[in-house]
Order: sequence, then C-alpha cells, then structure tokens
Amino acid sequence: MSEPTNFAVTATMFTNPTEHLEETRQLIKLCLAEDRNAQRNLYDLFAPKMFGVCLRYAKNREEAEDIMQEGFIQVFKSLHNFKFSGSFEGWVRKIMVYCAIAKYRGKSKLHSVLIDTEEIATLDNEEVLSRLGKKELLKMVQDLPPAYRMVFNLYVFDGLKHREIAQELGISEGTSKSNFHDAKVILQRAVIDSMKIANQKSTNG
Amino acid sequence: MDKNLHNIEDLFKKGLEGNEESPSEEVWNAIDQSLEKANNLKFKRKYYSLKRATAVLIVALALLSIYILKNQSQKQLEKPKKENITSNSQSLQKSNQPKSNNDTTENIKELAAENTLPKNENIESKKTTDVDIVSAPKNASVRNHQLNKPAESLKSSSAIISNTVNISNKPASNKKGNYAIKPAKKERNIFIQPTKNKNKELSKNKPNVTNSEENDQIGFQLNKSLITPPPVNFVPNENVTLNSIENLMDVTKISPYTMPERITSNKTSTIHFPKPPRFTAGIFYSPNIPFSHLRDEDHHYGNPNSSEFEKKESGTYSYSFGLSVGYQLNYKWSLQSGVTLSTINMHLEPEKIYAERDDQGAVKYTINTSSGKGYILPSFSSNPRVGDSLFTQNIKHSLKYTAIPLSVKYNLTNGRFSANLLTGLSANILSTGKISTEVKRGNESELDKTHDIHGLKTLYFSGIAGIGMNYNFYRNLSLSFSPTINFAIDPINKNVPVKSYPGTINFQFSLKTSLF
Repeated sequence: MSEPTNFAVTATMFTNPTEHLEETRQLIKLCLAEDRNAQRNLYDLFAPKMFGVCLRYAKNREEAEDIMQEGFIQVFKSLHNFKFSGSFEGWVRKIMVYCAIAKYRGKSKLHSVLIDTEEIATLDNEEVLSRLGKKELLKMVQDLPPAYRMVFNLYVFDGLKHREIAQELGISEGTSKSNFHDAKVILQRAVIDSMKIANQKSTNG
Repeated sequence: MDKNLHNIEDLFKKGLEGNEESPSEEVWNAIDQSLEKANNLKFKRKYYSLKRATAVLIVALALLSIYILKNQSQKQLEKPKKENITSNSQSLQKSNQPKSNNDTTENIKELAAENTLPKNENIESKKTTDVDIVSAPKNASVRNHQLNKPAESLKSSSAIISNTVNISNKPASNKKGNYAIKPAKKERNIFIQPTKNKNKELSKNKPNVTNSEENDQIGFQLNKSLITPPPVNFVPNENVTLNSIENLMDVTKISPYTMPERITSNKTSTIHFPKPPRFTAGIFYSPNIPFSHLRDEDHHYGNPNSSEFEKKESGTYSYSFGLSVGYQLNYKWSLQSGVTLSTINMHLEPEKIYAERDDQGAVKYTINTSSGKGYILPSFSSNPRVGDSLFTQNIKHSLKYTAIPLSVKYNLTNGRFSANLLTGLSANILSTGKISTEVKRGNESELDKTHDIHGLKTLYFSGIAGIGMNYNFYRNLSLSFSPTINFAIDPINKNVPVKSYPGTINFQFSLKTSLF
C-alpha cells in the first residue's frame, strides 16, 4: 500500500464538494493509488449525503448502514471506471441506489398489503412540513413495504420512469405503477395520522 | 383524493431531498476492513497465475532433474563396463605381446641360425636378408628359404600372419609404398577365432584369396576397414631393422578381431539388478486440507461474488480413501492409478437466507455456496413468500467425488527405503453434493439438507503433484506416506456467478503389496 498522504479536506469541500472539482479529482487519483487516507477523506466527503439516500431506501438505520458500506466498497473498487466526464457525486449516488436495489432483489420482494380505500382528507403541504419534521417523513418512507419503498424512491427521488423501474426491479411496468400508487396511499394515510396526532397534541397543549 | 396523492410525492420530495445524516463510525471501520481484505485478495489473485506457472516449472524441473539423474546413473553403470573393456584389451595386448614378440624375434633368430652363420653375422645376415627381401624382387631362393620357417613358427604361435610371408618392394596394392600384406592361399590364412555372432561379419571381412600372378609372392591383405596398419615408410635396405619387423607384428597383434571375444567373455561381470515386481496394489487413506480458488464470472449487483464466499466459507476436515494400482515401467519409473473416493467439506458462517423462486417456479429458501446454490424448505415454513427470511447456522457444504488418477512416479531406492516424486492428472466424477444447515425461526429450529446443488458439473479434472516416502517392511509389503497437492484445472461448476477451483493438500498413508 502507498504511504499515507496529507490531503487536506477543507470545511468548504464538505459544504459543497461540487465546487471543488480539482480537489475531488486529486482525491480520486490518490484513492486509485489505494491511499487509505485519501479513501477515508473521500468517504467523509460524501458519507452524510449518501447516508441520507440510503436511509430512504432502507427500512431502518442498520440496513441503511449496510447499503452504504456495500456502496462505498463498490465505489472504491470501481473508481477506475469513473471517467471524470460527469458529476462524481451523481456517480456515487447511482452506486448507492444500485446497492439498495441489489439488497432488495437479494431478499424481500413482495409483501401483500391491505390498502384501506376510505376517503382521505385533503392536505396542505406547507402545513404538513411545518408540523412534521424530516425524521417523521423519513420514518414513513422507511415503514413502507420494501417493494413500494423501492418504487416510490426510484420514481420520486431518482427520477426513473416506470419502465426503467420495472427493468431494474424485475417486475412489470404495471406492477411498478400499482406499487407507486399504493405507496402514495399509505404515505398519505401516514401523514394524515401524524397530523391528527400533532393536532391533538397541540389542542391538549 | 387524486390531487392529494399528487401532492404527497411533492411533499416527500421537498421534505427529504438533500437530507444528510452522519453514519456511525462502524461503517467506515467495516469499509476499511473490507478494503484491506480486498487488497489481500487482489494480491493473491495477482500472483495466482504466477504461482501456477511456478508449480508447472517446479514439476518440469523435477522431471528434468529426474531425467538427468537417470542418465547419470546409466552412465555410471556403463562406466565399469567400458573400464572392463579397456582393461581387457590391454590385457589382451599384454598377453599377446610378449609371446608374439618373442616368437617373431625367435623366429628370426632361428632363421639366422639356420643360415649357419656366426651369430653376429647372422644378425647382419638377417638385416641383409631383410634388405634383400625388400630390395631384390623375385629373389626366390633367398625368400623361400629364409622366410618359410619364421612363418611356420608364427603359425604355431597363433600369430595373425600367413605362414609364408613375402615382403616385397613392389607392394601389390600400395602405390604409396605403405606396407601391405596380401593373402596367398585360403588354407594358409590364420585368424584369431572370432565369436560366433561375429561369424558373418568375419566371413564378409575375410580377405579374398587370390592367385597371385607371381606364385612365389605370397602374403595376405588385411581388410583396411578392420585394421589400418600404421604407415610404414619403405626405407632403404640398410634401414630395415629388426624393429621394423617387430612393428609389423605389433600391427597384427591389435587386430580388432581379438576384441569381441574378450568382451563377450567378460559379460559375466556386468551388474544385474534384480527385476522388481511389475504390478503393485494397495489401499490408502488420506486426511485432506481443502482450499479453493474462486473467480467471479457475473459481476451484476446482487449476485454473490467471490469475496463474499471467501469471507464466509472455510474448509474443514476432508478426507479421501481408495485403492491404488502401480505398474513398474523400469527400475526407476512407474505408473500409478486406482480409484479414489474423496470428500471435500466446507463450512459457512451463519447467515440470513431468503426465499426465492427456483427453476421450477416454486418459492424456497436459497443457500448460496461457492459450488452453487441449494434450495431448502423447512417444515415450519413450508409455504414462504418471495423475500421471506430465515436465520441459518452451522451450514455445511459437502462434495463427494470418485476420482480416477493417473500419475507417473520416479523412484529412488535405498535399501528398504525409497522416495519418489509424482505428478499426474485425475478425472473427478461427482458422486453427491450436499448442503446441510440448521434453520431457525423464533423458537423453532430444524436440520435441513439438500442433495441438489445447482450449477455443479459432473466431471472436472485436477492436477496432482507430490512426493512420497516408502518403507518396505516385510517381503512384498510396504508402507508409504506421501504429501501431495491436488488442484482443479477446470472449474467444478458452470452457469454460476462465481466459478470454483477447489483443491486439497493430502497426507496419504498407504499399505502396498507387490503382485507379480
């Protein structure tokens, strides 16, 4: 292994890695030389953002850590494939998503969920956001059945079409659309329930 | 409701987009360990082909050194023979030399005595006679009278010259003046009796008997291919001495005809090793240490990869036993074959297994191993859904093969002990493949196994290399111990994401007996 290098990871790099393309490039080159310090720096640079992604795809924190661990190992193994033509962050994120898909395909797939079709009250997004925190929203996504969670994440956050999702997950396009719809119903119900509890708390308070 | 549903995705996108959280430190530690391991594996893989090449080179060098040793030992065996031959020829010369020299000298002396001349004069006369013989053509009276007797005496002393020798200054077939002896009459030619098997050759080489135009010019001509007499310069009369004639006699003494007889007679002194029995048979048992080299074939995410298996799989006690048959090609080389029943056992770390659809579409729990995948269906979860999971522990993965090896051995024997080097190939036919495990769900647990490992090939080939030590403890019985390495040349599985090349380090103990 090569000697550890003193590559300085500055605070500004953490705040906006894309603005420091040259530093990132240098860091990547050092990682290619299997410099463990540089690998650690690269990990520190992207870990918080990527962990946010992994959390959405996982049912809990432990699973998210598993996905991220596998994801970063793949990043370091496949670093030589990165051609510096696009966003490195996007490339890393893509690997994380693929690792989440791999984990999903390797285990849980279909879970029948009973969807209650009773009428749901209308919601105002701004109001919900003011009342519910990120953690609560994340918990709702994590509580989705795996198949729904995958489709919802891929469609909403990663911008994949249902055709692409079907291809990635090995399901039909119709199933993808159906899962997405069901996921939204479950989430809406969860949001309403959370709002009710919040309202009750505020009334009592 | 539709409107709300549309809003809900925007709500979550707005709320969770760009969400950042720090993972625990354990994540990096795990990554660090994994990278370290990957580095080690990379290093191992990098030198795997080099190791293979080295192994091949070692085997090749071993074979070469065996060949060289064999040649040297053969040469050493031949050396005493040659020495014998040389000493025989020397002794032959010695035994002939004094006799013939004496004879010749004696004959000449006799000849001189018969001339009724005083001794000194006689010698002189001999010289003169010689000169006469050489210089005076057709001086028949002198020639016949003086040379008949020496020739007779040569005959009696088993010399290789005809009984009547005529030395002429006009050698019939030698224009350069070199000495030539022509045979005069068949019945007068005297040769040392050749060995029986040389009769043909001898008859071929027998000099032609010709009736010389000059009847009084009698002699014989030795075949030049058999003997090339040293060129004798025809010196003037006065220079012809007794030594010249003795030299002439010497020429005849080293006739090659004398050699085969002596060599033949000395054949009895050749060292003969007792012939070892041609066939041997034996039984053996060998505790083995398994290992495997894994190679990724399909790098698709979600497929198991070699590093995963290397992490979770480890070889446990394995063994082989069987019958061996040996065939001795010669004193050093032998072939060995037989039938070997081998069992390779691997142990897997406890893990969670998930339900998947098998090839027939049935949903079963899948256990992935480096050899292939197996499906199990525990009684307490006989109707799982895809994605259901179970915790397994004590996963064992066992492969049984019937092997037919063929190896070549080079043996070095020293008394009752012998050592050998062996190398060869083995065809391994799959007998059974088994995955067994203990599955758990809550308080329920069960031992499950499957004999159907998907992806396993029915036949693979492996290479064998090793050394052996043998102790012949009673007549035809011997005990041997041979540490060998058996390594797969082709993978044991196909159509799988990870190809496996297993191998074993064997410590074989065997009991052998010589058959015939």
